[in-house]
Amino acid sequence: MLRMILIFLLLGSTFHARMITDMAGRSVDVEANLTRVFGSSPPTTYLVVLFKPEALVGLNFPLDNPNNRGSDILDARLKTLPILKGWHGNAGGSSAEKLLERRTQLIIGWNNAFLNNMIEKSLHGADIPVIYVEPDDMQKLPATFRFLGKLFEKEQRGEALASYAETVNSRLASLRKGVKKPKSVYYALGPKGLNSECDNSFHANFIEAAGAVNINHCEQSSLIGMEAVSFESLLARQPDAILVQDRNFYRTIFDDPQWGLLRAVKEKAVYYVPKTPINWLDRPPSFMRLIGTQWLAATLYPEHFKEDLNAEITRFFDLFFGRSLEEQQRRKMMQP
Amino acid sequence: MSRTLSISALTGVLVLSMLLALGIGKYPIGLDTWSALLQGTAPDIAGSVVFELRLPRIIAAVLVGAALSVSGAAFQSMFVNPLVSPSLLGVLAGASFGSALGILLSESWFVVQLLTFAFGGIAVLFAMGIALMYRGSGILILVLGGIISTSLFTSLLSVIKYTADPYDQLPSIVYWLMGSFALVERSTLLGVALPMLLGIATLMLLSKYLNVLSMGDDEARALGVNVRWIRIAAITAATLISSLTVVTAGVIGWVGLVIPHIARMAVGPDNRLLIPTSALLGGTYLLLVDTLSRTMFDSEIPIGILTSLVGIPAFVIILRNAKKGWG
Repeated sequence: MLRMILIFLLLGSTFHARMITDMAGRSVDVEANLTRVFGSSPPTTYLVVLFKPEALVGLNFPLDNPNNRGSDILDARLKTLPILKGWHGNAGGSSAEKLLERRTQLIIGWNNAFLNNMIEKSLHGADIPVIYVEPDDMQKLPATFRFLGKLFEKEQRGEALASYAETVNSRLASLRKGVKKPKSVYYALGPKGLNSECDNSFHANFIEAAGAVNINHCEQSSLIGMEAVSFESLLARQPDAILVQDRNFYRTIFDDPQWGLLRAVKEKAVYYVPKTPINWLDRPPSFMRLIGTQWLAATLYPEHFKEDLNAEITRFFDLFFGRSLEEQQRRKMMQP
Repeated sequence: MSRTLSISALTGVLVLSMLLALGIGKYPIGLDTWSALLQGTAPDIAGSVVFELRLPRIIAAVLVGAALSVSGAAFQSMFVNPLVSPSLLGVLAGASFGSALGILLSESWFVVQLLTFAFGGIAVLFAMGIALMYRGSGILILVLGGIISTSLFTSLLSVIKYTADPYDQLPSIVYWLMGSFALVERSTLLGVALPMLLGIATLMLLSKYLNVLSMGDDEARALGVNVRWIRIAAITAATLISSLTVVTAGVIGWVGLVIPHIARMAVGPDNRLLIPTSALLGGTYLLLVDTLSRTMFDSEIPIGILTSLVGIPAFVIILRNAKKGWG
């Protein structure tokens, strides 16, 4: 039966195939008219949302979860898609049969050292082509947008997003040049705020991009990250600012006498990361970093960030999601 | 004579290690600050580092190390098997499942701890329930019950891992299962310390009977010992304290298997001496490993990884030089 389906798919796909070189430098045969696409992980799935949300055959995890509040902004139809898991974190991969059943034409994979070859291995020879893109690195996002524009035959869209990404990158580069004394940042994760990411981790490199320094110097050991940090080492290092992901932790940090010993908490330099419609900085790491890093830079260095941040947020939501954001809506998404 | 001598020597080593651990850490505390601390005039931060951060953690490490080793020693005598660890009847598997379930269902840490403790007990009750269905078949069926219970709760844990959100809950679960003292707080410690101490004390009081049990059920009965009740009491105490170790610091393997071994090589199989020795050795060992874990790098190494990395070579060396065997 499976073989029949395979043959059927092969026959169907050879007609309008075109050769594409993906961002990992591999040549892949891809059908011309893409109407059934799967993202291997949330970072790449959200990229498809930018170009052709109606082509998605499924999601990797629910649109709304503790780290992402998708349904406020994203297309309501996305909520009806099945959850097919994916290759990321410890998710364990998506099922090849389910993808075949949904006649998936293409998997858009995440070019990541921790994930390489996992997808092909678990497809067990099922004939679904995989192409790799760079969904999280801000420097590579312009190329990613142009690549996807070509792939989905929406070059103009790709170009618009790419040139926005380039503007943001050069804006941040000149901000970094202007910052004489970089602030030190502690990136607090987990319900107690005592997990963090290493300074070289792809989960935290936006800190450097915003012109600051991550106080947690270590080597990323796994895709998941979340290394434990002792409170004592925070006391010893006294970060200038604290970035918080967990909502409940943010709500308690100012009342906790222990955290009150940190200068950053005393000075209220504790910032909650927005999560609408996708986490602005990480988990998943995505193109949202284009606005998230600007928000971080504007928050840490108001004197160096020249644009009007609120106007920039509105512009971003308009360009990326086609949504005109109301004042009240924008304010709400910044609150924990 | 040598008995009191070795116990007091080990106690001395433990106290010295605790003082040492209190003195080192990431936050630098100078000699003058220490003398100010003793007079109560030190700045807030130094006092907080010593009394809120280091001291609870040190006490927790010692208690958990002692609890795991003592319950390991008790299990090894009860089952007359040197390869047995406290996890034999499923307590660690059950507690791990409970933690994971808690992390999945609730944002409250208290709920996580409660479920951890509850499922540690439930797993052991399940194992004993299986054994009870075959009344009279003795210890073998109890071990089998433990194997079944362990694999049941391990599978249930996998189900939880499968359903958890990979970006948020899953990392927390994986991290917790590797064990860490980084999250120990004074309030948790206040809740678990007394029951842990009581559990350890109970096993010490039972040590005389455990000696009899290790000769085999029939001989024990012949000597007039109520095998069943002694075993139930020992299992209950060991389960209680093992479950509480997971509540305090996640799953820490290897200690409960190896420390009793080392203790037995040092002082022989008499539980009256073996159990206190295990407690002191285990407490010292876990304290030293945790001190390493919190001082070596910027971010901490999960202690479950270190206990094996440090423990295995030590065990191999000791095994080579072993003079005193089992029984």
